[in-house]
Amino acid sequence: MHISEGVLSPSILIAGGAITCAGTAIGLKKLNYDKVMGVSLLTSTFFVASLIHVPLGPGSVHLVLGGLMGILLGWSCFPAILVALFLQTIFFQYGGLVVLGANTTIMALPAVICFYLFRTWFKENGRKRQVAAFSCGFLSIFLSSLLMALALSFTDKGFLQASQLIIAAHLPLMFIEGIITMFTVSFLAKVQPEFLQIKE
Amino acid sequence: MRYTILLQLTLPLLLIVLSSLPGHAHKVRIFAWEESGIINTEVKFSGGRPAKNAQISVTSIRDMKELLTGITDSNGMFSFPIPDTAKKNHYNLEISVNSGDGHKNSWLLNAADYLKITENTHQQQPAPSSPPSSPTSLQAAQQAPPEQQKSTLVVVDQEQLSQIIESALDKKLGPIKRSLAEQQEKKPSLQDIFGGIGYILGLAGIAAYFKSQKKR
Repeated sequence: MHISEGVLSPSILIAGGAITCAGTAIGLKKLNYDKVMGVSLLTSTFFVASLIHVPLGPGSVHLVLGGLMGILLGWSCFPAILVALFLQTIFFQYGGLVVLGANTTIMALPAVICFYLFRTWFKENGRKRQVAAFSCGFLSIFLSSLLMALALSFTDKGFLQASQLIIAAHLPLMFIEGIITMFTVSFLAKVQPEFLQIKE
Repeated sequence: MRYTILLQLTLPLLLIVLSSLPGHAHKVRIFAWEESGIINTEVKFSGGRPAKNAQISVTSIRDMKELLTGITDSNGMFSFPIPDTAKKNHYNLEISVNSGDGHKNSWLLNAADYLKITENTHQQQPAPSSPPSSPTSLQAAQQAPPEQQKSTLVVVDQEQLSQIIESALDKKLGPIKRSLAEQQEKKPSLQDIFGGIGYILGLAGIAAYFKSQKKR
């Protein structure tokens, strides 16, 4: 999921940076005092999740947890993912500082989209919430792959070839993330419902 | 406490991470080493899986000219003989890989790393049948009575012997060079992970401070 430095064209880098700036601004504005610790916990989770390695598919993929970030944080996932990616760049040499904006957009924008798509389903108990959680995990990776292919299509091979390659590589991850998101959400709904913002 | 249960939730996740430390995240790695006149290149994803059909390009650093390109096989390997122009001009080679899904990396192979041994193997070619003939010639050198003959034979033997040692060392050192090249890649350590988490907690503290001031 981390695009390396020197792959993308400047226009894509600037576009990614602009979206990240806007998203981070909105996210920080929506962040209130009570949510700060929750956001930082999920930032830590995102930061270390990339070390969990899934040896499936043609390549090798790691957990992203974009869907979980999206449901739990909404717009605040932008600053969370930005910080986590920045630290991953410094400590693990994943991605790069120049492509930080593009990488953040690739992972955070689908998370926000999932948040708005499935927000209403989360308020209902039972099966519907589980389905929504699974879809969130699944769809966020799918959309991230599409965004990544779109970014690469301007520089590398055509969109179709790039998207086929990337989606095929991330297909197992979509199911794994869906299942992980589903279990995490149903666990949280049982023990910590206010964290899901479903009290109202 | 409000967040104790969340902490309980993240703790097992952390433990999983720590127990699975040898696995690393998605990034492409490339390393190259020279083995008897051939440069071997190996491309792996950071989990240790070979990167198949990845594009390799070899450029000289001095004039940024692309010398050759290739595609890795099913084991993530790509081997090529040292290009003549590189040999002649003592180029430092930059071997870069693009796996096609946004991952790119490169490896620097200095001229000093591949040229010294190649020159020796070059010398080896005029005397190809050196290993089987050398023991007999050694014996012949010891037995031969005329002093003139003996001295010339000994000179040839030393040269051959050095070539034999050279080629044997080359064979033995190949895997060592490979693993040395492999180990130069920095892997995420426990220190990095906890350092990162520490930074995140610090940032959370800063954010909480400013938000709490606003709240007042």
